[in-house]
Amino acid sequence: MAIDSDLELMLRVRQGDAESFDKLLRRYRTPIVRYFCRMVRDQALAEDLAQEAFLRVYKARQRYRPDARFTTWLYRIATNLALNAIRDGKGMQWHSENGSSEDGDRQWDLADPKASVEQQMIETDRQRMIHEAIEALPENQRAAVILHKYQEVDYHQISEILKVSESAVKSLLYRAYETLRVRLEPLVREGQL
Amino acid sequence: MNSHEHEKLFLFVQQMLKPQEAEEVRRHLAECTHCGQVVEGYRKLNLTLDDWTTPEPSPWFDSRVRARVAASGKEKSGFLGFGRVRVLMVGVLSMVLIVGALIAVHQRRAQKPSGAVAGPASPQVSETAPQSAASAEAQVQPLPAEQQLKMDENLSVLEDYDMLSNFDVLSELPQAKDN
Repeated sequence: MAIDSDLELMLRVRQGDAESFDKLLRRYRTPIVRYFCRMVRDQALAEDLAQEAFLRVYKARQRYRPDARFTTWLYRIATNLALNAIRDGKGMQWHSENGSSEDGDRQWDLADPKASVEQQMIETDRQRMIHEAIEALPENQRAAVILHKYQEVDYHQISEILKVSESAVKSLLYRAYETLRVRLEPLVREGQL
Repeated sequence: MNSHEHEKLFLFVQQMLKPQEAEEVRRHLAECTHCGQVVEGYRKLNLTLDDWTTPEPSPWFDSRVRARVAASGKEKSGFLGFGRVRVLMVGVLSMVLIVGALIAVHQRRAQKPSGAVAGPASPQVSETAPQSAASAEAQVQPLPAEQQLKMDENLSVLEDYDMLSNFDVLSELPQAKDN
């Protein structure tokens, strides 16, 4: 059975086909929720924003231009939502002296449950350090790193999503990785052991 | 190597260089240990960043999106259907109210001069209409003499008729001085 392209599905959504919208939802729900989780840190807020992103796709279906890639359009909507949420100060409330979440039950803990308590703590700490290092990056650098590294979006698409030139994307990524290289040096060294 | 060349090494690791540029870097790396270490550093950083995992969407995510989409559809149909009629009704109602208010203001302005003659209170104004109609009718049909006399007796102002007829208003005024 041939897999429908995003474009075909979106054109059908434009004509009011709910099943095609459902297919797009199933195809992109995981990457979009993960994108928001990385951008805003709070899973509940991430899911709310992801729902809003899909809702906006649906509402704006008539304005979708077939010459634009669906994922570019989707990530542009998602990035705008995420950056607005960050500017509004949402999803940034886990900082505390011991690094644990102030709203701990909403923050995910993905340490391997089969590992020992000590290993779980180390793993949680590593994740927290990475998250904090990326979170400390300027908005555009953060979005560029997450889109490129975790969402596997190519730099040409990133330039369209962030509305900057391709060379600006390369520069954003380089500066971001240079900062991360310094901040995460202890983790990089640990990884060598 | 300067920072510009470091950026090139970074882009090489991220596979963002054009094939020709990538080939040049590859050749350079074969003979430069320092740049080899820089590239290795970026690769290790990449591996470190891989450790950052995120959770799956919750099981009810799809149903929530569908519910929100359905709700937005209802809102839209509401606006196009009953909602539009409601907006129209509100518009018509407000127009009626505005027109009503304008008519009331116009009538009040029109009644103000006649009210001043007839008296200060509005009920009297409303009573003047039948009275004037009756007087017009009386002019057409003159009353009998007896009835007319009775009416004259009832007019209290005629009691002092003699005094009023001899009253010289002009003599009471102060004399104007001649220049």
